[in-house]
Amino acid sequence: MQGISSDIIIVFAGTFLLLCIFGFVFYFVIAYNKRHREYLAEKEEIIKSIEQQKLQSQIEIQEQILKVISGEIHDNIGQILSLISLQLNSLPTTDEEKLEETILLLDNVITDLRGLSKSMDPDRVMLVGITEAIAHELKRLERTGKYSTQLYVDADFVTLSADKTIILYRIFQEIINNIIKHSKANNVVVTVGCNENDNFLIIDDNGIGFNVEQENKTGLGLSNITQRAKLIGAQAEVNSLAGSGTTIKLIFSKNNNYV
Amino acid sequence: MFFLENLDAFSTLFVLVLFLFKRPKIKGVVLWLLLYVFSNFIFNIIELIIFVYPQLLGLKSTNNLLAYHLSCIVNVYILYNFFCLILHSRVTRFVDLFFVVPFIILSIFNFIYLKRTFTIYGLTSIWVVIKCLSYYAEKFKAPPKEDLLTSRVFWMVSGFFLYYAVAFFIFMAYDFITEGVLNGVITNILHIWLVHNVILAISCCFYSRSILCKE
Repeated sequence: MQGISSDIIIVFAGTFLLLCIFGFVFYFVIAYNKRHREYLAEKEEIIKSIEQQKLQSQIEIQEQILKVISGEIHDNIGQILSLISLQLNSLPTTDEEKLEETILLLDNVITDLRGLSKSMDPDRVMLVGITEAIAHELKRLERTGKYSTQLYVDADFVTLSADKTIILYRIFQEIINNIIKHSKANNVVVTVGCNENDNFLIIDDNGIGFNVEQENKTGLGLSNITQRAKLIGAQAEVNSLAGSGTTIKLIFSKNNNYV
Repeated sequence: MFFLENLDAFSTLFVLVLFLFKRPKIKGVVLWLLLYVFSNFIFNIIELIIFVYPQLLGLKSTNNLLAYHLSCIVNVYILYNFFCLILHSRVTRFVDLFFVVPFIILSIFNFIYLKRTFTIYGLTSIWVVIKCLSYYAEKFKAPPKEDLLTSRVFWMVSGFFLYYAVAFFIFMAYDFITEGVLNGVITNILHIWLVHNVILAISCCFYSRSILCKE
């Protein structure tokens, strides 16, 4: 009897010890894996933050360059062309019609260059505000003779901060560039509006449309728009079907965007 | 009962077969684990033949203590190299210093006198448990970059920790238990070795898990 009980004691002691060690190892794994998950989440945050900072830097550099080019166009090229126009006006000539045609072409170039300079200049965009800047851009589009445009502006649309205005404007320009390059549209409708919680900017065209999923996989254009939208706390929604035109909606919460 | 009595040999054989089947790259910690399992397997077979089944080779049953002592020395050498690869703290080097001198003295004593003592195994067990705890401490202090359950080294160290932590009590109590058997207090010393074999089998499961982890 005593022999059996000592055997049982041995087995129980062994099992108890085994359970203690299993418990220790199990607790260690749980604690370590919890730290591991926190580490991964922190790493992801850091990567996101670096990507955002990188994008912000790229945008700042881009704006600097555009400002310089805009200045050069306005100060140098624009001035020289105006001078050429003046000198042409004062030239004696036998062919008045041709001379008038040339002066008209030159005046058109000067107007286009002035318009281009204004749309490139970030300071001007921040000064006039997003709706005015969009209106100016649509007028430039109409002047090509290939597009008709409509702009609807909600009076309650909340004014954005200066840096967000310029980024939103560049997103808008990129969308317009895509319409010109790819859509084969002839009508563009822009709505600047708001509801209870959100501001939104909607750009509609009547072009050929595209496959959004395919474009997301292969193209950089949509991803560029989405990334820049995220930078200003906006959400980009792209709706398009082949043959049915395209609608791009940029939505941003009112609370984050006061001046 | 035959299976339980020889479970130590079967467990190590299972791990060796898994090595052959999975064919992981034999370098670093994997090499030392393979050597550890292989040496344990070989010594188990030798001990079985010398002590339990000598009639298979037409030998007389004899004392297998020499094989046990040799096995201990070989294991210590393998485990020392294993832990050198995975531990980086200077504190563990000091632990080695405190372990080496008594280990050498006990080894010489055991070889000269061939006494039935498992104190050398007990000492080895303490040393391995301290090394394993050092590994866990280092892992906890370092940035938690990897998922522990997919870490080869974690499974190996946990296997060693499990075996030596439980076996320490068996080894240290063995001399006492032998006296108990002689005095008739304990009827069957075999049961303690069955517990030992089960622990070894469980630790072999950990080694097997480590082989299945991706590099």
